[in-house]
Amino acid sequence: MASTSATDKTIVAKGQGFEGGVNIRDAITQLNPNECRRLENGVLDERGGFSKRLGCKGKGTFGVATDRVLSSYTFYKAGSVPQVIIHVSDGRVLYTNDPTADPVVWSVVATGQSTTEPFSFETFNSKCYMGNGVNDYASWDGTTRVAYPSAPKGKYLRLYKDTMWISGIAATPDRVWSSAPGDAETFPISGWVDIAKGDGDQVMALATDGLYLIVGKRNRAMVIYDPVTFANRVVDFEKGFESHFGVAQFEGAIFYVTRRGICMWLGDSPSRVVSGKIDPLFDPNILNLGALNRSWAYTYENRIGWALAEIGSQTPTFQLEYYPRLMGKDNQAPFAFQRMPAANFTRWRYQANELLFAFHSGNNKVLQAFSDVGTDDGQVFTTIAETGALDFDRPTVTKYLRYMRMLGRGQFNLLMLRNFRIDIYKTFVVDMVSSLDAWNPTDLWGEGSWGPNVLLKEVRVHPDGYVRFLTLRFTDSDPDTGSKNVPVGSADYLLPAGEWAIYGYNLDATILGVRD
Amino acid sequence: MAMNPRDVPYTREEVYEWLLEYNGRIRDTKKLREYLEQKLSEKEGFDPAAMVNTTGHDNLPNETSVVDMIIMDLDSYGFDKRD
Repeated sequence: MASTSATDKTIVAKGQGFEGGVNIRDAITQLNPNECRRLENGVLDERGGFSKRLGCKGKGTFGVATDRVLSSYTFYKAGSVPQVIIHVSDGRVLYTNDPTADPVVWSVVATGQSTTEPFSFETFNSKCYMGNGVNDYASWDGTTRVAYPSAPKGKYLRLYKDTMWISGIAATPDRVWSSAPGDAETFPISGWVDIAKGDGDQVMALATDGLYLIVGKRNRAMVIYDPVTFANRVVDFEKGFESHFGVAQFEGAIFYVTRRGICMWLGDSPSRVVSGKIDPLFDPNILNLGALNRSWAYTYENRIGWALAEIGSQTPTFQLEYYPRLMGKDNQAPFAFQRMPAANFTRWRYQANELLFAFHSGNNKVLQAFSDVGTDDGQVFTTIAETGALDFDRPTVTKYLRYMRMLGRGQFNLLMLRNFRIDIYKTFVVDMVSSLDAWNPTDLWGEGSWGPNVLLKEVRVHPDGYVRFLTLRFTDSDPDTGSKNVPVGSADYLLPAGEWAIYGYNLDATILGVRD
Repeated sequence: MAMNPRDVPYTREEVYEWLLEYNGRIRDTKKLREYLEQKLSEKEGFDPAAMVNTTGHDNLPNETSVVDMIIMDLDSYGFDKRD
């Protein structure tokens, strides 16, 4: 419920923003005032506000229409343009030196590789190493690939203490191999250890927090804390890892996908589930739990995202985003959903560019996510933010809604639903679009847009409605983009942003009394 | 004193070559063990009966012979004791 002040008959309710993110766990009447029942295709880029996201720009194709990217990686090499490397379902590993080109031009690293098992990649000693559990472990220095048939053919690679660690061979599901220290191409013959051998589980991910090598099985997590003797111990007895590719480091912490939600690694203590507000999502009737091993993590701007597959799909169908920097007083940070047509991602930074590349889940296209476009590869998408059921602290009486003021930018639709019904009670087109040609001295009277103009606007609508409980739905599917203003002292910067944003709303209502 | 696991002065590359060479011979762990011990003894100063510190392995004794470490890891070379 929004905060209210009331006299006997009048209620003035102030919305408390959207910084609580989405909450699908609590009953609709129990949501915090700053939480939403639905939150999709938008970003919490300004605390308390909610903006439509930018779209995905097509950057050409690779292979033929049926090809998909199994895994992707950005290979950084000092003094060189970082390469984007992709493992494609036709068995090729491709690279490009310029992912900003349109279309992106791909060259071949290798052919004849697995068409189903994604390569895991790691960079060490200016080389990119790759392994997928099927093909030979190999290195790539940017121009030449070298295979090491004698190295363990593991699915998962992780660099820890200047050593390459490998795991994920089907015949020995508990085993982790170590390279020689400082040399990812030489493997000592007894450089292996079984972690909880024969426990019926299997290694699903390797990760590191710098101190330990984290060995994640499906049902629990262990660490190797001594790279010399391979001494190890259990850290978490009941929360395992589902995906090697679903591990992300952000703000000094490690976040990863488990069967029970998104977890934050706490080092010596069992991990903390941070996704309590979206608990129902991790249900086999919603997510394809069997495909969690293909969930894919990315970090971008102020958030971490995971591409996840819904039931009936083997490849990710939506993204779950988490904002650790927007941690609230309740020690919980918000989540929101995205529906970009992308299965996996890689972030690429070079000189002034920091871009997030995505690979289409339904065709062979390369995408630039959160690019300066308003569609996803030419397809419009719908953004939605829907509050819980607001009762103005007067749940038993009917209220007459007199006015509603909104602060925001751009244009969207405001839909009102009442008393838990699913039909739309009231619809308003909210137009807060800024005109760019204001005060143009060459304009004649009556032409163009005149008068002072601001990026932020406030509009008032007259709902003229009767409700006990009110749900607000802000939505649109317009293909345009917008701008947001970031003040840096005396200078203002206009940044590309989604077409609209809502920063706050106030409601003015009158209590009518109890009605049937 | 047992060596730490990564201190054994042989690499998987060498063992891989030995196993390629051995491939096609008698499928017998005892024969393979003798073969590996003979190969290990070729490096001057290395005792083929040398032990590895396996205190970090919860399913092994504190020390395990180098040959046993190779044989227990044959799967990862793409070979099998049954090959």
